Parts: sequence; structure tokens; C-alpha cells
Amino acid sequence: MLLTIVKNSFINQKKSMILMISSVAVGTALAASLITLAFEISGKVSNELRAFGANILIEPIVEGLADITGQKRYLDEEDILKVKTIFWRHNIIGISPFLETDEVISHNGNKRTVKLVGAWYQKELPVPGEKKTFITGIATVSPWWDIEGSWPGADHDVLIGTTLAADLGIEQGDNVKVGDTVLNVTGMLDTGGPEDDQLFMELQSLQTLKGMKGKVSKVYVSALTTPMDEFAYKNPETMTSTEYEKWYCTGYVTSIAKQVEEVFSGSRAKPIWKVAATEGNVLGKLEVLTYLLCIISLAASALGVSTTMIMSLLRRSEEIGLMKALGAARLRIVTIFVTEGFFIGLLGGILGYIVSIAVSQYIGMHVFHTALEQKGYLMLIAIGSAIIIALAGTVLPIKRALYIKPGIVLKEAK
Amino acid sequence: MLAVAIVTGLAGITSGIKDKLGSELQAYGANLIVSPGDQGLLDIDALKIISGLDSVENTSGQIYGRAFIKENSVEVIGLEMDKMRESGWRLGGSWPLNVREIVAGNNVKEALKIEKGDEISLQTNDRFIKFIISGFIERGGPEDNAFIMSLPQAWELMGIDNTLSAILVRGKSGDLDNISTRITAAVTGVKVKTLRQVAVAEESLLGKIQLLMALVTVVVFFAATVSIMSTMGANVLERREEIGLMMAIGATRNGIRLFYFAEAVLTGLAGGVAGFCLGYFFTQAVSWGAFHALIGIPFHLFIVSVAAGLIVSLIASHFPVVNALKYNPAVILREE
Repeated sequence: MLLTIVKNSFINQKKSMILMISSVAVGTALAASLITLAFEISGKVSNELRAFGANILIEPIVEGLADITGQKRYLDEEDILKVKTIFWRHNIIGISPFLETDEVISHNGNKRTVKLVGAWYQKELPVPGEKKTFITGIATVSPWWDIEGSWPGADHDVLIGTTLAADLGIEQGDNVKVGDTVLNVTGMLDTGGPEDDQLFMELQSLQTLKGMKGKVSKVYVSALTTPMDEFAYKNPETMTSTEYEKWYCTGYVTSIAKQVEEVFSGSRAKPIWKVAATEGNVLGKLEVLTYLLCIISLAASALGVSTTMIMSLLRRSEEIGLMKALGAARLRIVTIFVTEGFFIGLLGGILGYIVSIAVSQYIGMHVFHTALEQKGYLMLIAIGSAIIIALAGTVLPIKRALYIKPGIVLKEAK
Repeated sequence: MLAVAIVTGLAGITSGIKDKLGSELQAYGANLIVSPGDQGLLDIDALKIISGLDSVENTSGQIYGRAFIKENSVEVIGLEMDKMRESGWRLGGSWPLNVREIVAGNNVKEALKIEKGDEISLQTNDRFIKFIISGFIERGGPEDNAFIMSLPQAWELMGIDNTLSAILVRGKSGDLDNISTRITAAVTGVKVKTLRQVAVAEESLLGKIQLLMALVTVVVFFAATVSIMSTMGANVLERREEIGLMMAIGATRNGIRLFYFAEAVLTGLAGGVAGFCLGYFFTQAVSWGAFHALIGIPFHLFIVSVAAGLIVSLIASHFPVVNALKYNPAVILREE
């Protein structure tokens, strides 16, 4: 009986029902897509922020005046693979080692002492314990490097910084002498930083050339991190053991640096603060921004939906009057309207959720070029809140309906 | 009205966010570097000229040199100390308070085994100057290997006056090419380079965030319009009856149209203005919550939001009226 009434109510008032359902659907779609976005924005933007470069620097431990007075110390290249075995290994998105040597180069009689640097551009590494490989190097860690020509491929190829090239009058395709070896310039590099005054080779070529197999001077690591909060700034040495554990197992830039330091023998890893600190700031602000937007849009769509529901239901006082005149109990009338509200919410919620998937995926693809992850429980939240909002919209009309004097309403209608 | 408020708010945030996030990104540091053309040094006046140029948000003059400490050569950086305090360096100890105090990079601390409060003596050529270490900084860059002091201290140590090795410039993102042209025009004989690490990443990030906000605004606008239409649509039947009555007592069709048009214009205007005001508060509330700063809302947004209010209300009133005018008044009135 109840279901028949509700069913007929849907069939006989198609227009008004479609209005209500679509209004609920639009509200749900809006709220659900914004929530999806809010959940995901931190991760996505964090990825984008990696374009600012590495956030952890690993150097040989400082003993005496080694690093400062120009005496060289080195790290072992084979330790690099171990970075992919730490607790936060999946957050490591790039590793870029450098081997720096000072060389006298000459070209057409001009001599200059410069840094000759060995590096990886796009190196394929095996991941320990897994079948996958991991491609890393300057191309992933420092995407702003602008190379005209190509990265040195063969053993006697070299890449030259634009400032240095201009000073010495070197062009792509020229030969330069480094010590007694003749190198072929395959490309020019522009970064705007100190690299513009340096020469670059493939790491292995330089190691062979200088007889320094397996040695690197420093390693840059680009890692996805949790924004630094007050707790993260505490000194790990003064933490209690529970605090230390919590710190160690959270992906702060400091704790990841600590873990990286542990796998590199004789190393000291430190955050590159200008990158790390800004990252936390930007992420924090963006997160607050999206949550505030979410709340405002949620409130607005809830309001819009309830208005529509109220408007539609108020017009049905005549119907309620008739029911009352025919002797329907109050409870009965309430049940009918609540059931209707429930179905409107359910249908609208499902529709809205489907639309929201499309909307949030479109935004994700368009802005970040990757899909946003759809959380399964969001469906339940979306549909649940749609039902709640729809029901909330029925409260006021039902209240009014219960005070209706059937005689007056029915007479007015005539 | 609510819809206009939200859309205004979002549009306001979209237009303001680039500036606000841009200033958050300031901590990444300079995106332009001005250096002397020919191995010489820059004059301090260049710093003043560059700071006064359009779109230049921040400048920092620096001087580099080397000094001997216990027969080891260490890098010395002189810079404007008060500006350094603002940019996020990690400091252990305190900033220099008087003219004898300086800070040292963390690597120097470990290498020389010095502690806070130690007195050290730096030597250049035949000059000896004693300094007190007030703290240590860590930045993850070359500064960690150096002594950091104020410009006058560095000039005194190096025996030079009022010169700089480089000026780091923080220019408004997206306008860097123009700024560097302006700098070369204003100061003769300098080289300006764009620090691609900061500049490239910054532009792409800001562009993406703005695109994101714009898309969200479009979606919200669409949703708000649908929701308003459905509310208005719920009034259709009531309107029909009213119009039927008017026609029955002799109003012309054009008269009725004009009447409803005027009504829609009034509600649209009122809704638009009220929506703008409310949206203004939304924007400022959100911006305050997220950035602790207010956003400047461009005036044209006011016109846009009032126009949006008008259009929505006109469309919403148009259909019921047209619909009702098609019917015979007698039929409409009898149906009720």
C-alpha cells in the first residue's frame, strides 16, 4: 500500500519529481567531486612541487676541513640502490648522483679551471627485491635543465654550460681538451645556476676517465614528503621513544633524510630547506583552501536542494488535505513523505555520484594529467548525505502538512 | 542570490590565488640573478635602482669572498641580515645582535669544531678581524660551508666599500622576461640570468592551480544555475494561474510580459548585488583562512556577478511566462 502510493506519486508527478531528483543529483555531484579533489590535491600538488628539484642532499660526512678546503671525499655508488629499500622507498621518486672533479680545459689556446661533473641523465636501475626497474637521473630530479643538443652518450662526449661556452667560444660539435683527453661537445646546458659554468659527462664515463670507479661526490634525492608540522620540527635526539617512532614512520623530509643517511655509509643527509619548507607551506595552504571551498559548496548545495524540496512539497497541501479528510493517520502521512524523500535522495545520490566521477576525473586529467583515485567509501558518503539532505528538505513541509485543516485546504482549492 | 555569491567568491579566489600562492613560493628564493658583466663588482646603487623597478618583489644584495681561519680558506658571504631573517633558513642559536657577531654554516661548525659564543679570527690579506659566532644556519646549499655576515662586516673584512658580487631578484612570476629587460636598461653593464629551477617550476605550478580553480568555478556555476532553475521552475504552476487571471481581467500579452520582465530585472539586480556582497565575504573568509591575507577583488567582477544574477533570473522567469501565455485563460483558471 505504502509503496503503491509512493510509486504512483513518482509516476503522476513526473515533472516535479525529476526537478527534485536532479536538484539532489547536482548538489551531490558538486559535493562529491570537490571532496574527491580535496582528498587528492595534496598528493597531486606534492608531485607537481617535485619540479622544484631535490629536497634531500646526501654528502660525505664532514671530518676536519675536508669539504670546505677543497679536499675531496666520496660516497659509494653501490649504496644508491639501497635508497629504494628504506621504509619510505615508494616515496623516493628520483635519485641523482654527481661526481665532481676540477679540471683544466683548453680550447683554441684558452685555458680555464672548471668543474667537470659526472651525472646520470636517464639511468635505469634495478629495484632491489622487485622485478621492476626504476628510471632516474637529472631528467626526473631537475626537470628545468634546458639542454640544446643531446646528453653525452659515448665515453668521450661532454655537455657544456652556456656561460662557459660563451666565454671560451665553444660551440656544439667542437672538441675541447680536458687534461690530455679530447672530448666532443654534444650539447649546451642552460639552467641559470652554477651549472652554466661547468662541464657534464655520463657518470660512468667520468669514473673510467679519472680511474674513480664506484665513487660519487654527492647524491640528490627527490622524495614525496608529509608537510612539516610543529611536531616534525622537534629535535629527534630529545624525543621519547614513542615520539621517535612516530617521527621515524611519518614521511617528513627530516625522517626520510635520516633513513637515507642510514643506508649510505659515511654519509650525512640533510633536507634542502628552501625546497622542503616551502613545500610544506604551499601544501598546507592549498589543503585548507580546498576544505573551505568544500564546506561552502556543501552548505550551498544543501540549501539549494532543501529549497527545491520545500517548494515542491508545499504545493501538495491539497493532496494532504484529501488524505486527512479520508481519515489517514498522521503517522501514515509522515511515512509516505519520508519514503518519498528517501527515494528521491537515493536516486539523486546515485546519479550525482556517477556525474561526480566524470567531473573529478575530467579535472584530474586536465590539470594534473593523471586520474584521481576514487575512494570507494565516497560513494556511501555521497548517497548517504544525499538521502539526509532530501529528508531534511521534507521536514518543514511535513510539519506544515500536519497542521493542515482538511476542510479549509480543500475548500480553498476549489 | 546564493549562487551568485558562491560564483563571485570562487571567481575572486581564482583571480587572487596566483598572487597569494606566488608570494608563498617566495621562499624558494630568487628567480633572477644579476651579476656584474666583466669580473668586476656591482655598485650598491644598482640595488636601489633594481628594488624600485615594477614587478620586482624582493631583492637581496650579496658579496662573496674568501677568508683564512687557522690557515684554512673558507668562503665568506655578506648579505642583508634583516632580509635573511625572513626567508626560511634553519637557525641554531640566535641571529647576530651587534657588529661583532656573525653566523656560520653547519658544515663549518662541524669542520672547525666551533660552538656558539666562540670567538674566531678571520684573515684576508693582512687584515685580522675577530668575530663572535652567535648561531649556525642550515640551508642545504653552498651557504652551509660559509661564514655569513652583514654587508658592512663583509666590506670591512675584505677592505672594500659599497660593492656587491650579485643581486638576487625575486620578480613576479610570469613577468620575468620583461623584468630582466628593464634591469639591463636601468643598470648598465650587468648580466641578468633567469634561475630556471625556480622560474620554470613556479610558472607551471601556478598555472595548474589556477586552471584547477577555474574548472571548479565552472562546475559550481553550472550546478548553481541548475539548482536555481529548479527552484524557479517549481513556481511555474503558480505563475500560470496568476497570468491566467491577469489575462481574464483584460491585460494585454505585452503588458504581462513587461510586468514580469521588470520583476525579473529587479530580483536579478537585487540578487546580484546581494550575492556579490556575500561572495566578497566568502572570498575574504576563505583567503584569510588559507593565506592569512585578504585578496583584492577586481571591480569588473562586480559587474560580472550582477550580470550573472540578471541573466539567471531572466531565464528563470521567461519560460513560465511564455508557457502561460500560450494557454487560454479560461482553461488555466478552471483547472485550479
